[in-house]
Amino acid sequence: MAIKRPLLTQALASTDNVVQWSNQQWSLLIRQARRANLLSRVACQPFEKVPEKAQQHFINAKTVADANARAVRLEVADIQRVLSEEKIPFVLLKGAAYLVAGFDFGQSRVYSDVDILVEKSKLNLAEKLFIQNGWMTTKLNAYDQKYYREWMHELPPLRHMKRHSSLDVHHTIVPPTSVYELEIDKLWERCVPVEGLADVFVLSKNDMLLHSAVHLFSDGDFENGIRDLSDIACMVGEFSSAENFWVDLEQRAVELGLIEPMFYALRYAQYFLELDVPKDVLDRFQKRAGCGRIKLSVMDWLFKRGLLPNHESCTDVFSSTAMLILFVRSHYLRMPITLLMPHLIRKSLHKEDAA
Amino acid sequence: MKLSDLTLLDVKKRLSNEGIFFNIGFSTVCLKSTLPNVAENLHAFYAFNELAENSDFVDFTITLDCHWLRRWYKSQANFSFDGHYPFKPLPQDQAFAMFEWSFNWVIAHHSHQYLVIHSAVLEKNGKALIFPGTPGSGKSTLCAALTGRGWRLLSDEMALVSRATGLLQPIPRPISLKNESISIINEYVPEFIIGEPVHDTAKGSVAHVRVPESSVQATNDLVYPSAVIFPKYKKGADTQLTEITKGVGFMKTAENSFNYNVLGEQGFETLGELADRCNFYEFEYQSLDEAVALFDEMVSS
Repeated sequence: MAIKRPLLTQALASTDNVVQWSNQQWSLLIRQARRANLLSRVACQPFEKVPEKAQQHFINAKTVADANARAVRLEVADIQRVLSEEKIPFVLLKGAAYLVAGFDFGQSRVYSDVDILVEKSKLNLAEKLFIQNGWMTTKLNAYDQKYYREWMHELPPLRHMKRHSSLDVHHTIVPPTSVYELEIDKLWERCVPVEGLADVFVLSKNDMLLHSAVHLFSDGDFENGIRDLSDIACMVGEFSSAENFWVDLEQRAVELGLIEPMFYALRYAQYFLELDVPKDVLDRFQKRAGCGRIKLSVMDWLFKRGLLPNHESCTDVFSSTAMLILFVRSHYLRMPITLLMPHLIRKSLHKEDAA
Repeated sequence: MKLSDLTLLDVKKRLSNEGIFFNIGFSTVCLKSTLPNVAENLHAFYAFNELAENSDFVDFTITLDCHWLRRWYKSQANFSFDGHYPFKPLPQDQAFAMFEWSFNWVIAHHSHQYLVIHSAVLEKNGKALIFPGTPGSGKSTLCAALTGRGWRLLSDEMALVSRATGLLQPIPRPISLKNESISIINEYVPEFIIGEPVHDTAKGSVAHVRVPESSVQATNDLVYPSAVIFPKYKKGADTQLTEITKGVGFMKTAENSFNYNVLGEQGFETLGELADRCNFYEFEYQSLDEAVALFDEMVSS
């Protein structure tokens, strides 16, 4: 049973898809895009003809994205100021990285938290500096603190007391307890300095792409699923003109043990967003990922629902089941069952402090 | 066709099916709700608003509903906007008040073609006054009094200053009165249609006043602002209007703006133009009669 392709992914995929649209369809597009946090990106599509009132919503979304970009740049500058006290180098991840690295699609992305990566040996010192400079830890109960510090790949999220901005400080990009055995040093080796900001880096292009893929396809939170998939499609769009791009990406994915999530990323970006992926490339990724026909049809059933915006116009009767299975899957990928069961039981008994 | 041209039953049916499509200010809204009292209130308080066609472009689709589990037990009202639930549910008798508050939120967050200032806006003789106000300043009471004495209501809640032209976009909606001001305005303007007060809300008791038809009809008559007045109701105070410098007025207006920060440099430009055009005042008052006389005088020349 196939689920309908929503207007949102059609509009992101190609401007040709929207040519015949009615007022109602434009209204619905804007609603879906708002739900998916993608209105500002849709607004950047070079549509030939847009109803005037829809155009106004696009302009407004760009205004919000510009404000977001200004705020993130200030945030990054402040983080750099604080960590430079002890000369701690850090890598910007996700949204802030796309923006600071100067990618077009990074300008039109709206998000509220900044993610950074520091070396594990510097983690405690970095946290101390942040606390001394106006940030506060957010997960105050002892169990949550332990959950993050022992099992996760990041500190409990920090929040700035005055600006209320969120900061996630990671020491690696996947939980140490997860099925992916990733050596973070390999990412540090290739990271790229940001011009004008001492000791600030972004991941190399392929690593950025692989990080985005593993984040999307191993995390249970699909709230921004289609936005993150669109990030991946935009990245491939920007990077794939480089010589040997596909070969390098495949090689790097193997090196880091991230073939499987990268395969899903390419497959569903092609399916939803008409991303141009050469067929032989996709076949090779699939083979290396060990994703046979049966497994693939299960994954299709799940992701073709899970990745869509949680909007009444984009869901079917199976959507919530798919979401639940994906949620369980993400936890299973994140920690071994002996850790997971006590964790989930505990969380279900204390719902209010869900991590 | 206006909303009042429909029967109450029609409104109810549309609300619980495809939604009711109507215009508020510059926007076209689709509202869906199966809750009791929403249709009655909408029919009474948005009576003069134009209906839109189902085929029109809709700016904002809004749902006021209730989780099925809470339909019979301590029933609630829940506001959603394209799958976002920005507010916690409220007791169901506050459903219409919730629509009003939530719609303020919708406009403030999605109308960046305007600099949005938290204020009442009224016009007479082609001169529009902006009354920014924090809760308790007596902004809505003053607004209702002026509306009752023949001023045109542009808004009880927000000034929409066009970034492109500097003109004010009217968005006339019910005036929301709180606590003592409900009985004060009931006495001051007996001909007003005022809704049944809803008690124990976050703002105390709240009642809505229907906007006169002439104000709603003039929704598309844009006007330049001519003064910004910061009202302060004070028991026993003499009526007193004090001009403040443009610099101070600019800063105070920025503080009362919902989206000054979002607009960045453009917000600064728009507010700068507004400051060129307007004088700024602080205003202390107790007597509504004296207040109305003073502002009548201000716009008479």
